[in-house]
Amino acid sequence: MFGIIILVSLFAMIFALMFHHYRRVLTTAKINSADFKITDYFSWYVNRISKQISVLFKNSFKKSCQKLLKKVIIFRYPEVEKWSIVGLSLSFLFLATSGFIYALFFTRSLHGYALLFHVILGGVFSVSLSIVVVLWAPVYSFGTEKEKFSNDSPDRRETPRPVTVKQKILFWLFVISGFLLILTALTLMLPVFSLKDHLSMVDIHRYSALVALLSAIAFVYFTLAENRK
Amino acid sequence: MNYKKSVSLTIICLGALTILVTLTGQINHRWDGSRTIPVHQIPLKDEYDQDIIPTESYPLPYSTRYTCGPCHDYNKIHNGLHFNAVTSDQHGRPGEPWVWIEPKTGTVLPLSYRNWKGTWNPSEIGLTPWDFTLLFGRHMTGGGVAEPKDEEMSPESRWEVSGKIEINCMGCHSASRKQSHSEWAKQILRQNFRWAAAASSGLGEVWGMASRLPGTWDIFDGPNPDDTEWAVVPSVRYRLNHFDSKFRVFFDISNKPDDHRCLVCHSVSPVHLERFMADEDVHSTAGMKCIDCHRNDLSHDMIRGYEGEAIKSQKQQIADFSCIGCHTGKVTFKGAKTNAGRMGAPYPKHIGFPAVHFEKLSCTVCHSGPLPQKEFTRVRTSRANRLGIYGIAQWFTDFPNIIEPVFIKDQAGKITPHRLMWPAYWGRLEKEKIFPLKPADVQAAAKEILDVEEHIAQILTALLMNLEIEGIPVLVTSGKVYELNADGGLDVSLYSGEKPKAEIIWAIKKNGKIIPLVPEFDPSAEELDVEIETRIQKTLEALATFPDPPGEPALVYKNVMYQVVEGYLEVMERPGIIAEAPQWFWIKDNKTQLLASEFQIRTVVATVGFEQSLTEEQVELVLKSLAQAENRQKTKEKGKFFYISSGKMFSLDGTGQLTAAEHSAAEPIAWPLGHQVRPAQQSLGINGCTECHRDQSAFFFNKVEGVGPLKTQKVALLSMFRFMGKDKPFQKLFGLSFTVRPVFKVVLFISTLIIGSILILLILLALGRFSGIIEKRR
Repeated sequence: MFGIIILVSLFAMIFALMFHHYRRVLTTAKINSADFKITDYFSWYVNRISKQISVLFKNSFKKSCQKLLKKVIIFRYPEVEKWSIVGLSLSFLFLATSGFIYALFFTRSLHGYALLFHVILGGVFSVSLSIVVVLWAPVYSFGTEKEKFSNDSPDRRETPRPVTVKQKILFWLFVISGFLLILTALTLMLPVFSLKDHLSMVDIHRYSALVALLSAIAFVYFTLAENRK
Repeated sequence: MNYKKSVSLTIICLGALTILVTLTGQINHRWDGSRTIPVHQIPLKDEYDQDIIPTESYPLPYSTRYTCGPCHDYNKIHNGLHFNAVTSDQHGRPGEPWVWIEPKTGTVLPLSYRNWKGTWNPSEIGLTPWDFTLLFGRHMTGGGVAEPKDEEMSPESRWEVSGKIEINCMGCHSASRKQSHSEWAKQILRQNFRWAAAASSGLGEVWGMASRLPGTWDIFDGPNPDDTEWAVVPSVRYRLNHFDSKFRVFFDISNKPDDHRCLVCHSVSPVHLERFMADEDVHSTAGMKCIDCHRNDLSHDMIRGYEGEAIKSQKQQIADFSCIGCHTGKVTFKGAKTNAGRMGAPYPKHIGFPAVHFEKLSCTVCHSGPLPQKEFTRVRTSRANRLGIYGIAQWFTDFPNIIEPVFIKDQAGKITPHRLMWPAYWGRLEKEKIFPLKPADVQAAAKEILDVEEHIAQILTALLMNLEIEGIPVLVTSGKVYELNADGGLDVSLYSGEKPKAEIIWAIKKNGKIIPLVPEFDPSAEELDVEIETRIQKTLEALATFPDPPGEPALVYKNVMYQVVEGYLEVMERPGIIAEAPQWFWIKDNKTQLLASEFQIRTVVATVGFEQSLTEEQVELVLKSLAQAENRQKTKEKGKFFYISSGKMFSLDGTGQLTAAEHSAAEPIAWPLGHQVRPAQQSLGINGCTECHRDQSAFFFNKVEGVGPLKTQKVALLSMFRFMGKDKPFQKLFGLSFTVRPVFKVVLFISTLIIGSILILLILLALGRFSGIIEKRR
């Protein structure tokens, strides 16, 4: 059941974002969105992907990667923040991959070395998420500039670009689901709850992971989209 | 139809019905709902369905088939779990096999009529129902293989003499303290099969031994008045005070058998456990009986209670009586939920216990058997080690060496604690197929190679014939003293006297001191002291009583030889032998041979006082003998003989040397254990995860070492993680991860605290903004 929910929600999310992107392209090209045809959309998308790949391999692969990395916004951040984001991204990538692969393709739940590394990188995820939340909370908090609780913060700095409400919502959604992920992982290790509670906790962990994954994808998409602007 | 015809038809129908009822002899007893059980004051019937009159001169033993049968369908019961090993095709989860122990040949062979992995079907190795019943009848319930049909009787069997063993109803259902299992075992050993139930129930006394009767004897022959000493015909003398005036007997029946009746055959106890320290299963302590979970209806198709039994047997109600079914009420069968909480079973909360454990482990891993420790717990079981038979002789055996708990992944894919033993047997390998040899066949081929201890014991027994020695004859060698024991074997103790003059000395143990068989004397003296001369002569005469002596006994001291010739002690010079101390020999055709050969002394020193009864040298010699015997027979198919012990297969290589190799036939045999269930406070894991998840934990990393009757360094060594199908490096790493787990928890806790605080702050800000409190403060 959980596998079906993962697949449906992931496809829905990817389709929605792709469609959003297509509509944005249409708007940029000043084409009436009423003329939308699904076949046009797919052919556009295939062309775009192949173009990107050919660009990637046109120059040397190494140079292309370096160029791509320079484009990534996080490299403009200070060291601590930069490495926290790297830690958060990579650990989350591994956690999501290992967790969802087992949920989708294996009858048994996560086990063996995958589970061991899942737990270890869970620790990295919790530490890096805490740092990122502390550093980014002022930037992603709601309200007017004056109301932001970070105004009094001594290390207040300029953000590269103002963030949209969408990004803020997605960021906090990710933080809340991340928080639940860490909390459930912690409680599963404590000799406090009964088996029934454990099973509920595992379910919360799973669905939080799904929400975190979806919000992370959407967040990255909108951040990149905002950067384009 | 006229009146006469209808009356005739009615009479015929009624007659047929009466005959039918009489023939079947069954009363269809349906339970009326009463929770009481009827008083069993019933007439005894013999195996020919005749009433037993106890005052008759030669009454027959009672037959359960005809005494109990009229009310309880004997044939239906006959298909129950305890009787259907041969006939059933539903064998379920592996259980404890019967183990054929034969110490002299070092045979420890697991047998079962059920097709359980690692066991041999008795018929495969040439054991007839008769042989099987003789071997294991001591702990059998009767019925089944012990009650063969006439066409199943093999010609060499003696069923006609002994009778068949009918189902011994009282063996389980007796509530009387007079019910004696020891008496049962004794009667089976005497081949008094048809008398065993009467003797063990305490209804009467049984005399005589069917084993001593000729094979032609029949129960109608009756007693033999000419022999009242040796081949006494078995007979039963009923205790008349048990009978009423109508010759009915009161059977003290327990509808639900008492635990001690079950434990006659199902006891398991650690070898080194003191009796007063032995605890009961937690269910028994709570007042439950075995039968409360292991229940059955008239079919006697008992619930074994293991997980998955309900699915295998397709009976929903069975699922209630597994651990999970009774304690948790989980869905176990076709979507149906079990009726949990029966008999007040508590619901286990398993606080702090990760759910994955319930996927991978059976309940018994944490709750049953002894806790895993560095050393496995060695146990004895009733049937394998012959427990619960009391008498002057020691009945129980040390072999098989059964250990527990060995955690093995079972057929259902769950890790389950098992009892484990290593098979040991001689066999023949022919085209990769194994043919175990019967111990008698091995003994026939091995001759004196395996009779070493017996040989020494016979010499000491012969020396006992010299009544003048006023002590116990002993053998002193290698710093040890060997003397006869009550079982006809040897006992060993350390020698603490002066350094003996020779390596092998036959001596006398008197008041705890070891003195020479013949006092010190000068062989070169003109005349011997009369006392010494008498002692020598008497000793030589005693040695002559040795069964099938290899020659005439003689004493050689320096170069003088003493021998008894025609009743007189002859003294002669013996060139070629110079014995510094008096030495005893066999002399045949002018050739001398020590009383016990160096091989025999070597073997006795290596095996007596040890659990192992064979040496590699013996195995090599026996294998050679077996090969020679086969060569003599000139059979077309030449096989390779082997001996299996300690998890290895020993055979001769091309040069005739003994080699050990791994072979699937040498692998251990294991069966899951269900009891005894420990209290919750003694559960595995109660003290934390590290009871199992740590480097070098007994649970994952204990090693099972091959043991067997052969004294050898070449033994199999199997790690527990291998039995579980687990990866060693991973379990090591995972175990190590628990050392940093407290730090990890702290890290996670701090993270949740930080993120949680910020989230609370965010919520408060949002609330403040939406409620307007922030605006108002401004």
